[in-house]
Amino acid sequence: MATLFLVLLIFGLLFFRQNIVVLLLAATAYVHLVWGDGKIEYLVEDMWISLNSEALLSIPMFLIVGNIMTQGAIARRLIRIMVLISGPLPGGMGVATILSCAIFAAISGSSPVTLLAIGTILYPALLEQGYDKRFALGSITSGGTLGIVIPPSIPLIVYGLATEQSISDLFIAGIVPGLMLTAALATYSLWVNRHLPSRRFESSELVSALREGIWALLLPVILLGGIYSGYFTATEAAAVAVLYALFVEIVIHRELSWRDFRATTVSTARMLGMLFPIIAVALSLKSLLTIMRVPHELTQWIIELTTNKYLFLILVNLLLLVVGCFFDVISAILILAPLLLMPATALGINPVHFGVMMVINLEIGFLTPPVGMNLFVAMTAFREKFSTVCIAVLPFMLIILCVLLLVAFVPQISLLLL
Amino acid sequence: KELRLGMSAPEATPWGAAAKAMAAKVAELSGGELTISLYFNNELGDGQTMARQIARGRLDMGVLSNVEASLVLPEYGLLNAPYLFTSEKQADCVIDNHVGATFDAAFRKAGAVYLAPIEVGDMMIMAKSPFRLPSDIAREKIRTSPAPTDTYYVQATGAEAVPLSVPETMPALKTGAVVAITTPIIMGVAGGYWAEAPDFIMTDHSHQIGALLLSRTTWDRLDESQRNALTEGAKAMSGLRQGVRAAEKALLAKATAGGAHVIELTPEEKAAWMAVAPAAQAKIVASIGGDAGEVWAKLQAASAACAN
Amino acid sequence: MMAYIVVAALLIGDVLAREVVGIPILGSQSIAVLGAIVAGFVGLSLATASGSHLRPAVFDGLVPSSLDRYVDRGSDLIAAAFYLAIAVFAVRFVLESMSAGDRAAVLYFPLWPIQMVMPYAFLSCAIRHAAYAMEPALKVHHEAAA
Ligand code: NA
Ligand code: NA
Repeated sequence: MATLFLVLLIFGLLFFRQNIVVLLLAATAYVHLVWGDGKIEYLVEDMWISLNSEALLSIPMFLIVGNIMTQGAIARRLIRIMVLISGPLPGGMGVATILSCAIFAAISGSSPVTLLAIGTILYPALLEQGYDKRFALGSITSGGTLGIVIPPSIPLIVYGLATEQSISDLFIAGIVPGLMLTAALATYSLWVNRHLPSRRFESSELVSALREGIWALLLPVILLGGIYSGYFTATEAAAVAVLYALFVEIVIHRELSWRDFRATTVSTARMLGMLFPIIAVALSLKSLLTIMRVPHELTQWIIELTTNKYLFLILVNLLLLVVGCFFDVISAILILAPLLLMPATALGINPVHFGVMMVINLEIGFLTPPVGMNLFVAMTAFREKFSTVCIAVLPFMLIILCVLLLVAFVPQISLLLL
Repeated sequence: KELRLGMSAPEATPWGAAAKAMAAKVAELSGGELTISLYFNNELGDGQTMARQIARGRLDMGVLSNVEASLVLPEYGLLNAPYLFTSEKQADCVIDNHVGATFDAAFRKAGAVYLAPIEVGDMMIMAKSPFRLPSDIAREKIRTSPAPTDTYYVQATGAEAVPLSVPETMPALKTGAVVAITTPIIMGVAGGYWAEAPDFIMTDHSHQIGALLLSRTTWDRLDESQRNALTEGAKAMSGLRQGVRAAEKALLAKATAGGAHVIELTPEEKAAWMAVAPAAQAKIVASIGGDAGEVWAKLQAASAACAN
Repeated sequence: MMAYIVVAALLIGDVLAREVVGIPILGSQSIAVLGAIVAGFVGLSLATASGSHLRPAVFDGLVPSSLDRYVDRGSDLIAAAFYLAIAVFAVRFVLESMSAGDRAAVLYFPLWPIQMVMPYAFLSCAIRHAAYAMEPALKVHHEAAA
């Protein structure tokens, strides 16, 4: 009966043309009333908590950097260099996109941030160079997820803390699978764009582009250098990037006015305002499911189902794929890693290998509806339909899935460097 | 009646075991009338969120660290002040005989019932290279937990304190942004930081005491026998003292076998670490404000009474 | 917008203080997070003002377009009522937080003055939609459909 009312509520709101924020909040408020503790104040609190996270802090910062770079000249100049370098290779810019994601991922450790930072520059560039919109959207949205496998990775740290495994070992174990994922996605980009025309290599043009773009090129250098030499953390890097981008655009390039900057911050706030209620709803539903012990019971069910190592791995991966649809990576790891690791080690599965497998699997969760962080971020940042983004990431998701299977069944891939 | 208890620690830790023992005891004492559902690994939100929700009545109970419990009652942070205790025996004596009297009423006023202190263990400094004296680390960058107690003490030693959250700590060690970290022994070793910082300086500069808190809203809804079951059952948490100390020993042995070095300090060296504590203590009391001065005087008196 | 400048300034200030002066600003990260929260809620009402929230248009065809005006007005009325209700619950949450003494990490100051941004944001959304229901011409038209 209660479920019927929920469906009626949603249909009613759809009929009366409510936007997604009203729809989700109203449905979640109803869920709190009926299945939760009966207090809608808790939904309001969950909205607060969803924004109250240091990890989230860098997202609006990188949104601002992205907006400044595109409003000003940094993005344009960087793209020109990228196009000139990758020009001789058919589909070269597709590869450049994936590699940029992998490199940036190595810095930020965050999937949506990688997506935003790379996407704001390269998405328009890919379209301009004649790449299919679906490919452009898909490669950037899924390339962003490389951020959580290639170390440093926040989810691997969380796995290490939750299961008492060495975080360094986990980082090292993430390197080869991360490179494999990058290579697989890059190869796919080459193949799918093989028909695109290549251009002759123009060295004089490249030199002038480099000279023009030197200040823009320094941005990633400063970010990477600052983080790897230990001057600032990844979160602080985002703020330094804002300052540097502003400095270059206002003082050097002189292509950003105060009014542009104002417009930039307002549009960033608006983007965040569209994004975070969705995250809040996910958080709120997650806490209800956890209290009802839904993930625990699913895990218990799998453990009772089999004692075969390979069947267990398949079942665990299926479970994680389902969980990844609704949970964010961090919560999924915190709740499930300790539960799953015990039976896994009993079956002779290496805990470090298991962790890397979990993180790659949950990486796919960034790309699956209904709660796929990268889908929402891409939809918001590139102003595309949710369904368009979902379809665009499909081929990339399949590739990640293939690599996941390899990593799951060939433990040597993760344990190679250990 | 079902109560929800949240904690940050995983199930397979001394804290998980103690919480389970307590839940069993409470069920037994209340004749099954009161059950406690346990949620490990921050399943119900991070420690800060749990602390606020207990004070507000959304969460019934929580096993909280000192930093988290200090969000409910900032003065509780004083228990973490550097060298408030100079020995484990002194710490045990203060906790057994004085802590309840000092904090019970204040926690009540802040919306929580203080059911039991929670042993978290001793602090150490994990470093990339061995050192023994504060002067060895002058102007070096050391990660502290983002709380006044830890940060002001490290500053007082002459080192450069870098307050960092847990997820940022490992990357900072790896890149050399910090050359050492302060940490409770168990979290430090179990977190795998020794791969980057294999020298453990056993400063014991603070003895971490968390809290088992119950929401006052929940408390007010219980009858006398249920309340008794809870206060009696909470005594099971005292088993943590043995559990935590055994885990510290086992983890240090494991790390040593894996190539880490435990550096025990001589009394003279320890005295050098203690010498800088008073300056930090004054700064900590001032930064907490409120009743901190009064509470600090009480704690020092308790500490003196337990000196022998 | 000010919120973001504060956030960026705090983070950069922290880096400078630590790397140049050698003294970290204790609690700067948690204040920066609060700045981002305020910006998020202000962003929510900005997004409502510009009509940039995504809207599933699956059932739009059910109503003959001659009636569109009325459905749209009804839609704004419902949204106004919804945000008003959420604003009421937000006020109740802030009151609870005030009486329970919710505090910021590290610096321990009370959170409720900052949490007031939530009722403010919801109320401003409610007022906006109520105004649209009364005077549809006020609406900015660039709704994205999903
Ligand atoms: Na990464
Ligand atoms: Na998902």
